[in-house]
Amino acid sequence: MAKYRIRFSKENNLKYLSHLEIIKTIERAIRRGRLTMAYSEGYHPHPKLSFGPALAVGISSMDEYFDLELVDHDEPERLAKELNGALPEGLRVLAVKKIETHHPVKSLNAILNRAAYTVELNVAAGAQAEIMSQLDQLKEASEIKIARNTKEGQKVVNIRPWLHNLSTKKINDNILAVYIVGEIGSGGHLRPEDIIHALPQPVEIVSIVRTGLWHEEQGRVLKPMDFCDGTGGV
Amino acid sequence: MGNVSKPGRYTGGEYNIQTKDWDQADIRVALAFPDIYEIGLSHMGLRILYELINDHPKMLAERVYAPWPDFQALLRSKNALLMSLENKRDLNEFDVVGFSLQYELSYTNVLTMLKLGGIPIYTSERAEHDPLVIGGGPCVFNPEPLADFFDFFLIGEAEEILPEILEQIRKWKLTGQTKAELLRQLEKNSGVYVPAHFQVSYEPDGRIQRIAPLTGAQPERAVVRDYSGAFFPKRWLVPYLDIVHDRVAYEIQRGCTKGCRFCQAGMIYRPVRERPAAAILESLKGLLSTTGYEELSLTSLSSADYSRIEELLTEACGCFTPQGINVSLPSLRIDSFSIDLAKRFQSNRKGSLTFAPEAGTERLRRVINKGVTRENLVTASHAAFKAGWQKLKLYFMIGLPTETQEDLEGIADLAFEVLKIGRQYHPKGNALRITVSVSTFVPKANTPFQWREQISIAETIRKQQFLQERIRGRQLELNWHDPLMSHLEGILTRGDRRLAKVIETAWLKGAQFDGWSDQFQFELWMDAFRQEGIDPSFYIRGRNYDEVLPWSHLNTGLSKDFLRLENERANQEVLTSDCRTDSCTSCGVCSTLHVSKKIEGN
Repeated sequence: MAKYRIRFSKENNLKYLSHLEIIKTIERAIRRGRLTMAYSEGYHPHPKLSFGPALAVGISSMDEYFDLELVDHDEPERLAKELNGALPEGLRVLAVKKIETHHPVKSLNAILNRAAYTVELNVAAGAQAEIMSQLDQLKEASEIKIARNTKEGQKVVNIRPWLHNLSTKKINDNILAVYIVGEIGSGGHLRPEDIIHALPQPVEIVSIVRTGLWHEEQGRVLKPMDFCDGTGGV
Repeated sequence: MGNVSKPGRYTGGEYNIQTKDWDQADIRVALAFPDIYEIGLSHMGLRILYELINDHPKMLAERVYAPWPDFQALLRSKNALLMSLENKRDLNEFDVVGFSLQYELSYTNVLTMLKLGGIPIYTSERAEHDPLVIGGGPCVFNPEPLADFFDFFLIGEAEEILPEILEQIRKWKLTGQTKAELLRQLEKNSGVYVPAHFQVSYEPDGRIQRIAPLTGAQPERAVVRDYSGAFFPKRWLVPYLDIVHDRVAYEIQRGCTKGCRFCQAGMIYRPVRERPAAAILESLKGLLSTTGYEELSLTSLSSADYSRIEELLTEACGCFTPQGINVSLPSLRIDSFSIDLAKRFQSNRKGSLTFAPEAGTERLRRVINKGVTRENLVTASHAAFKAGWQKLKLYFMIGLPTETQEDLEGIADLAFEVLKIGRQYHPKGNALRITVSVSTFVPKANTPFQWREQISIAETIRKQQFLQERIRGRQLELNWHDPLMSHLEGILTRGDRRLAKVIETAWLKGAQFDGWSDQFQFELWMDAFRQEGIDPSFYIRGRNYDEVLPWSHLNTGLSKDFLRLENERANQEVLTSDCRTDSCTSCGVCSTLHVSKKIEGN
């Protein structure tokens, strides 16, 4: 048995896939790559495959992760090559790291608590300065209240505690980029589009890309790959 | 795009997709399915044709499914036309648009797709440069309600004849002849039916007086003669969305010889033909390794009847289960042999097992030639519960010919009997559940019951209510079909050409996705019938043997004497045996279509 942590990207039309569809697609690619997955014991065995936090439909990403357990050992470089040969266009393995099994390793969902996004907005040159200043005001605000649909119906939520960073940049005369770092995981979940919808006027979102996932605690920043030797420092 | 439900329906790019160079193709075919992606991609026939056509160096096939209303609105708002998934070409840029017609309640979707694709819906309104609109599938065994919308139909199995037909169309494109000339040539092929070449006249009471051939054509069903070597896909498309049949489905045999008198598939796919077991396994290995699928299903109308099913399953399970691949076998017979098979390969018994007694009493099962006894069902239920299944589904029909109150009671009795057996094996059985699924019998063209009356909406509701009162209680569940949908299906399936106007009118009023209960608007249809001055009940009535049926000019190989005799034997409650094991029943197919049944094990 051997465990691996795999970093991948999700782009183009595959950004429209749901989390479950991504899981299924990757599982099938692993089979096509002739890799033998390890299975759980029990009445209804399932492959030992676990994914990081779900990405909303329509958002592409440059920094996604899953953990995979194989029956056979394989060199990380070769594993990456085999997977990339079997994945559809739009999904790409960027890095593979072997997980040392003699240390317990926390699941991706348990460790990841920060996500970074780049949101591109369609804003005409003349209006960019104003939008930038409005976004700055949001960052300085003590609370940002938005309406969210929950199981119990609509609820007003203050998302400000989950917003950790925000900056803006003019890309060209039509496009304004917003960089957002927010909380994810059990401590709260920031949706980048919520920040945009909190602006006083509607602004068209051109695209959203997740650019990073990491663990942050008391100023220390750790990437998922930093946990692979089981030490991880947490 | 982000605001549309399931955008993956429209993006394409599935694994194993074949996107060929548009400009290099001499013939471009759009394979159109008049229902949503998840249903359309699950259909095996179109998968076969997709690869068969694309394997030809000069031909190209692309797919298009019916867009859901939200995506239709998006297309309209952007002034865009309905496009294929591969090269994103507008439907009206293709040479041929071929619709797979599986279900009558998808007819209005055909019109939606033509309209959104920039193609006039009536053949008479299409110009020479418009695509040829053709149709195939089980519905074309009576395609008459759609006759005015299609240039021609392909009746029967397309895989042997389609390449030749497309080749003829390719040559025709080079000559600059008219479409009318092309159709005259094409109808010489078996399987091709050009509805415009037949003129229908009517009696004052509405019945058909005569169907006059204008060109002398005699349309005949096409059939695959060499089924053991028949084409099957090697590059199976793997979708991203959850589709209805999300697995590799391998067709191990075609046709069925059971001879159930209500079953259209059992009649129109004769004779029974099997693929060789070794070839099936070889193909499956390839398909599983190039798709990465976790499930495979060995399909046919009655899979346990495949002559070497034990050997095939043992081999398949031996090869694939160690890789974590689930093997499934749909359409099981009600006998202990089937349960035994299911028990051995279906490791996951959380799901339900379905039995189809079809009718509630021994008498009525003799009428429909379903050779299943109460004892069969009892034994099979014992075996299934003993093997660990806790969910059993029983499938019945109401409104079968000669049905009485006693037959309805019989449905409830069987349900309780099976429940009683289940409780013996699973006394605590919190998961124990008997689902009784009841649909309304719809007489279909080219079956022994094609002359029979379909029960009215009121009678359907009355029978359903009776069952609702009888079949209730813990661990019992009753499902039934929408009586209004079955009524419309019954009208369209035995309809004639005058229904084209009704379909168009209902569609113009907003009817589409009629097979979807959340979209179906029966009132639109009734308005359309009233507006066109057509009495819908005319089409569900019983017919005399001497009446000219709307499909009587189409030769399916089944002899009228056979269908009639079977209908008579139903009245006499006499069973007809299976020609797989017993003597020939003289249905006419083998001799008329010059192909004989082929069973591997013999």
